[in-house]
Amino acid sequence: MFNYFLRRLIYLIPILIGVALISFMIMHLIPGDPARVIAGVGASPEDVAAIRARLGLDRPLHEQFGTFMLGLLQGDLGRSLRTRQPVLGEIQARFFATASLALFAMLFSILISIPLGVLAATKQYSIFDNISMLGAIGGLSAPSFWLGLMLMYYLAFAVQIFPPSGMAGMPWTLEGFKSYILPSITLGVPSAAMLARLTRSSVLEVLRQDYIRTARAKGTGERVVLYRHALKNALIPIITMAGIQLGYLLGGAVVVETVFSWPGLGRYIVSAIHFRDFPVVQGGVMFLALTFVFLNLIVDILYGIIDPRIRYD
Amino acid sequence: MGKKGLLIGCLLAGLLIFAGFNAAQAQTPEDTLVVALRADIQDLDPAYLEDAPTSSVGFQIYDHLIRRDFDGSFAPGLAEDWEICEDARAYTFYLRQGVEFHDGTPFNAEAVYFNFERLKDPETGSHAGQLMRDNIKSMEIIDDYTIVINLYEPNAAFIDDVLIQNATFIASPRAIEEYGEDYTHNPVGTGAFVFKSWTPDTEVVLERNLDYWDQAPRIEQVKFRPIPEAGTQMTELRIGTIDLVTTVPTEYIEILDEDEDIVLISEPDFNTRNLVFNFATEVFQDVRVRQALHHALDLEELIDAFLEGVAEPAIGPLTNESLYHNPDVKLYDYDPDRALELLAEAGWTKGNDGLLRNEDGETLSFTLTTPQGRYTMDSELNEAIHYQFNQLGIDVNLEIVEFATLLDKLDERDFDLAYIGLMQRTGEPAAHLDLMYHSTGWANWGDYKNPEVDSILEKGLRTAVFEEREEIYHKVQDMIMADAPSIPIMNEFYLIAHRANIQDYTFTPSRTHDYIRLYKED
Repeated sequence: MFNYFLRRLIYLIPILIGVALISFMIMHLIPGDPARVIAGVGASPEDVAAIRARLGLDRPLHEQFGTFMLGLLQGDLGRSLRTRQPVLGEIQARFFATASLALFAMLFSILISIPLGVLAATKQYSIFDNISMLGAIGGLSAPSFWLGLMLMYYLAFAVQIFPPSGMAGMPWTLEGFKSYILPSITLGVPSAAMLARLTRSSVLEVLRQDYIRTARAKGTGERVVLYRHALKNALIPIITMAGIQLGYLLGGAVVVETVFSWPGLGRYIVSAIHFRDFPVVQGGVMFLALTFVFLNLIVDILYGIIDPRIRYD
Repeated sequence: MGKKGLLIGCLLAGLLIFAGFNAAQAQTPEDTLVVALRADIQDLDPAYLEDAPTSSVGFQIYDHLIRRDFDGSFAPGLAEDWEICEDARAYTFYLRQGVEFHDGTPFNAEAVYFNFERLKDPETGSHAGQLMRDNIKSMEIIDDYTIVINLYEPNAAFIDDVLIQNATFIASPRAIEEYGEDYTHNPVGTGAFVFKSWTPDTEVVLERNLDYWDQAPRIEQVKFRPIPEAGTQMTELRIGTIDLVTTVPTEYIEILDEDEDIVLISEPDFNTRNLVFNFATEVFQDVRVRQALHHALDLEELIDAFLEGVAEPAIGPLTNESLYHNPDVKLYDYDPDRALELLAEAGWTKGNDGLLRNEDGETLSFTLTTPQGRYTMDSELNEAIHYQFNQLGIDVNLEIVEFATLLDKLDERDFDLAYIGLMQRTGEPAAHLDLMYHSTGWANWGDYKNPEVDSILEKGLRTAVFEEREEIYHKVQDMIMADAPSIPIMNEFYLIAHRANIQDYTFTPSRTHDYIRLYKED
């Protein structure tokens, strides 16, 4: 177990170097000069050159990459070109908003999807099955900016139950909690839809196994068969998917964060791309990649807890 | 399972009911003005303050020596009075006495000197550094409240061009030295509002300055909330969780017009939107081709179709709102026949395929480059322009790019005809015409060169008497129009919406907002 863990950590190194290199190259290869954007339409070429020199953008690419990697090793992601503040601090200030929103969305989607999927599986081809799976396809296909604006329109404007946007406080305060609801639902719906479909097929598959037949033949009650025998084994692919989904929720919340003015990391990185704020984009992408990789590691470890037959070597 | 589903259903229903009891979102408090920003602020240090959202916060925290009044003329700011020597080479400012920065340090000539020297210092790396270095030769502190600024060259537009911009807000020298790189989270000015807090991507809070030298603001607090999505801004405004939106997208005009709780204001400001010809593109070197393209565009119809009520056709190269604007400048009417005549004179005639060709059989073709999402309806408008040119038999290739890419292309002269806006906070003609049409102007992306235009523009800068300047600039507008180095398209209006309970809200075409007199009344 420990060896496995160590090996996984070592695998991280090439992955992260790759991420760093790719994000660095992409940002420097796309057209658009940050100094030009910072200086605005009203700047003379001399001003732009001065800004470029101040930001170190006039140095050769490999030198800039070296500086970036050296800083990275020391936990220093550099300073934002726009705000001149340390990137790490700016990321930390926004990570809580993104992570807590992703967790809420995950919670919402698990609460909805697993009961729905199990129910659909046990009542295969029933009206309930058809309707819920149709709903799942709808949930998967609904673009989140549309869903977000619809929820906002109905639940914040027509009936003013929830605040339309912004993070009103920490989730354990009433106002804060209310402000989490709409963005969490918007963010969680596609995952819920995917997990519901996966749960259904996974449970169906397990229900066809011999040991389920054996359990039934022994006269075990249907509830026990379903919950004690079937669901536990059906959970493995669901957990894998949930882990990957959580990664996506962390990195893919850009649209939801924009629609709901959420002070999160995704929106921050995207606005940084518009401004060609290299250090922020590089640092932000690195940070998200790291989180994603760690989430996968945690999922792997969870396997062993759910199914002790799984061994790591 | 049934029981569990029921339980979850009950929980969700309970949640809704529970939330329902707290129905009706809290409207903004009566003593607080909540303003929506398009994006979060960036850097409140004047030396690096450039973007519009940060500028709108900066204007509340800081003052300029001189400010622009609502009609575009100058009004005393931190300088009570000023004198311009005859050849516009030296400016003397008599500073307001008894003014203190928010940190209690006194405002005086030393503070002005410190701020401007800091901008000039290349080490500071301010975007305005070069401008300050190019203009200001020296500064003399005569006494605590008198400072003289000597210029290298006479510049009648010095106040407009140099003295009133984001970088020249006067900040507390002590705070700048004390906080260093953290100054942006601790900005200190002399303005009507005092900086309280900034929570990134969430809000900026300012509190009124009861000792403000002009008059203490009536509203106690101003909050700025970055809300990137326009639809969200509108929803918040209509519910009443924000009070003021300073950039309203045109598609919301109808909805807001119908809403009794909202007041919608639409006013012109000091901008121009132009199609700029690149003189390196061979076909554009013939003035008749450039003039023909003017005649080919029905600006009235284009603006009616895409920007009704939110823009007006440009009348010449200078923004219509400038005090120096020439309303009688000779324009090119929409006249496709005249356009074809001019093109025929230039050697372009229609072939059997309906395309214009020259003697060698080459088609008249060029690329039209437009940004997308930078200006209202920019790419849509240019699709229509593209169509109008094509109708004439011109082979136009439409290229839609990101704004950052467009700026690169302009810098590298990698375009034929480009759609670009120029927004200035002032109607000062030098701030528009020198930049775009003087051969050394930084916004002369097409490399237009006319020595006569250059010399008359230079004369304008050396002339301090209004009537003389007016004559000069009226003439140069005619000259530029005749040369047709660009097609001035329109002046875009500035759209603002606020809650109906906001009283006495004022703003200037230079987009400065006055929150001093404003109050709420239910």
